[in-house]
Amino acid sequence: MVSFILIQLLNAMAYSMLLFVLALGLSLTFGLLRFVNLAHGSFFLVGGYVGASVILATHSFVLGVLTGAAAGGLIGIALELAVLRHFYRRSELDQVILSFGCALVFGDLAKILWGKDVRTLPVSGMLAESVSIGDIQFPLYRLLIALAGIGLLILVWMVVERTRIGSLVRASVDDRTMVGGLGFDVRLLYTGVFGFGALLAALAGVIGAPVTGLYPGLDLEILITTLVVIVVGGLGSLFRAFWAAILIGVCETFGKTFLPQMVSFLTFALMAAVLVWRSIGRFEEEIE
Amino acid sequence: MSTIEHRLGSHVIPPGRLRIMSQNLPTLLGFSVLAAVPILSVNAFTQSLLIEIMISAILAMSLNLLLGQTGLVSLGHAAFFAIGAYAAAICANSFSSDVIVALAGAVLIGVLLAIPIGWLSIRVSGFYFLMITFAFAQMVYVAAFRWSWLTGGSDGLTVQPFTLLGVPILQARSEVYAYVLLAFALSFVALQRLCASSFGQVLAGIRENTKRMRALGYNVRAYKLAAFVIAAAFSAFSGVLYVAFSSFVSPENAYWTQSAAVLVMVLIGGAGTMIGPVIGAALILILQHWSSSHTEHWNTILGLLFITVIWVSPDGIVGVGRRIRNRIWGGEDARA
Amino acid sequence: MPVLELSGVGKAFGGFTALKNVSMVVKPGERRAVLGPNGAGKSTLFNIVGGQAKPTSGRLKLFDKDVTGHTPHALWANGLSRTFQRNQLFQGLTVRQNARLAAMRRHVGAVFRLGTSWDAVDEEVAAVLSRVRLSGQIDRPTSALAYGEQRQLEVALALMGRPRLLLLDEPTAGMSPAETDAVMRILSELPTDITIMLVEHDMDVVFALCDRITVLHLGEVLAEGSPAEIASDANVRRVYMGTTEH
Repeated sequence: MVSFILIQLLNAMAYSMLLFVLALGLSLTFGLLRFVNLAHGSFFLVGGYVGASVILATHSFVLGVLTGAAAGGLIGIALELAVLRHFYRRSELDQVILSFGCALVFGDLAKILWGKDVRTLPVSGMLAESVSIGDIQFPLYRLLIALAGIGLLILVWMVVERTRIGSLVRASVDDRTMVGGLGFDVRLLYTGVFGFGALLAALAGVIGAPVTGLYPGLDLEILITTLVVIVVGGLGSLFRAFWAAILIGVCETFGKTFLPQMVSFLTFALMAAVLVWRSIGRFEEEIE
Repeated sequence: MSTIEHRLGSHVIPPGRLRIMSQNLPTLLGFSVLAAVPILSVNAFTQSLLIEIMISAILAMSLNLLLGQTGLVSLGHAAFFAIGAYAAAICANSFSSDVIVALAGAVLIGVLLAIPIGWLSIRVSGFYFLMITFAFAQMVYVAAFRWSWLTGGSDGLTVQPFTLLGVPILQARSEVYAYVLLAFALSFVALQRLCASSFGQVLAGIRENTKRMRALGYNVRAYKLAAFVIAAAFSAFSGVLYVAFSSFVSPENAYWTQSAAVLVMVLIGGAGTMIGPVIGAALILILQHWSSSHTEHWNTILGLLFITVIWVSPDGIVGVGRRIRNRIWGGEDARA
Repeated sequence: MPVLELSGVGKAFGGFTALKNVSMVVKPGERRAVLGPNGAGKSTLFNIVGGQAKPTSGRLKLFDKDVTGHTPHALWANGLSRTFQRNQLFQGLTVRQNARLAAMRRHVGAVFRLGTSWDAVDEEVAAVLSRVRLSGQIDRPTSALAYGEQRQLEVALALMGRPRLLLLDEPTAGMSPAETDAVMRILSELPTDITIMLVEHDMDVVFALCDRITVLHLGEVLAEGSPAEIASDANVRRVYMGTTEH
């Protein structure tokens, strides 16, 4: 029993790290560009599909990861340049509608290109091994994902807090116009940030494909879960997003095992409860 | 960060005593045409389509009370539609097939559930309101799916025929059509009156500037809750009509895509107007029917629709119409 | 009975203390100015008195009734009305619609009332709008008004509640001399059954209008007294003009 729980915990951690990466990308876009991007899940799915196709063709996991992530980044940049950047001044609702429309179109395109069946991406070779800790066998792949997620947390924290680009990003969140006035091409920065967010999502998609599988509808499912993570964690803090991802990941993974019928009910109830909790003593416009 | 209020603000339904005859010649014409349909022996498919459109129009108009009038963007409105449908179905199957009882019961249950859901939801706004209404709606969906002892689970419920004072009612399509048309007309007038009343004006004020409304002495939360509950009541009402028409309800009616569809209807038609949601409902349903027989890619069509409308004319079709009219006949006010 | 009584009011945001131990008593009919350099806590004070924020310490009494932490609409019901530093108008509506919403409140008792005779409301709207000299603009969209006129509308909306305590947050900010004069005239014509408390930076307005001044500095009350007393107060001069003793 204990080993079962520990393995499930590892599964939960792996899933949580995927959510964390997605939440990071989405928060980045929202925090800097003030843009609510509901096409974020689409980058995840497309990255996964592209990566899977490349891996199947070349048998190289690394190549698959790189192309999947790159595909996501490029599509993100293209989308931003063509469509999304015109909506930075528009209201939240307009952005939601626009990006959601894009998500619907992408989802259908993916269905046309890659079919309706569920695709699995098995890990092969060394990655399929298990690691023994004590006398429990932990799948290596998931262990690596969990560790990579923690590594990413530290890396992003360092970049945002310690580097020049990080300061620029933080400054832009505070005052877009001033940063532009200082001579930086803010539009380029925005495209870059958006592309990076999309790349992160696509990366999560490839790496996560063995965990989640790939199928039509995954984009919206994972988007919704990511949004729940963001709402629960709030938008301001890197670490709160991390803990929220872990909370939701654990809830969903263990929920599926012990209470499969009520998983989404519980997740949504949790999110609603967090929102109501945050609203105590505040006016509704002030919650952020 | 700008909010939807800035965009929706221009279409305040003007206050004043409602003169049904005034300003609404096209609307009157529309109702007359609709009323003539059974008489003209229009084919069964068109009648059914019109019934569906009118039911969806009531749903969309009620969402407009929340969205266009008060500025509350809800992604959970179909939940009350489903609650109304299920309540009516369960009533007809297990308690009383009397249509009045089912109707009253369904609306009452819708209202009773809307009070706590609304009370909790209005404590947040903007994107968070969207998410929390979405969350509650999904919870309703899961309940509909899982509580098969009550709802029939994924199989749904087939509804026993309704009766009125012991006599079977709503058996023929033309009979259903007549009642749905009546319901539609009454809902239209009721919601228009509501929006034009002082209550409606307060809602518009809340949409335009909540902070100012509070400082002017209005209990904003009470008004928002009232709008939420009234909208839910109409939504549940349309759910009962749906069950009268289709004799069937299933969890799909509560899925969030239904709420998204209603949202599109309001936005495409034009939020903040009475006729906009009706036009939107008609358009979406016609498109849905067309695409279900011609293509598998309804999602792409819906997605492109979203993108086009929001890019080209955020005020929806009504906005386009207004702009054309202004160009031909000269502007209304600065907001053209 | 004092109109407004603050006892030891404080406001802390995490590590930062915006207000500390602020006490004051405002008497009926007073015209009280709250002055202070930027960051002194004037806006925070107004937000607390107006109900937009809750104090973290201290108590607030309005007409001898404890209203600490009450919502803006509850305060309104006790006779308080305010303007905001940045106009809070209904930009998408006409001046008439703005005014109606403000005037309507006293006629809309229950949560809602279907159908309304607008006549009673319109009478009041006409009266107040003429007092602020905006009658000519009544059917224009608010966004089409000049900034000064919008400021006047802001004052008008606050007046329509028939307040007994009127809070004005920088009423003449950003205005031309002519516009400032217009607002000055409106304010000086207000009857003394309305008590006024205002935040202002324009000293001419303050000295012409007010009979008592409270000066805040770094969240605390630095000085309080008549305009003459304040003008000659050494502490005040130091804070406003630097450390010079000359």
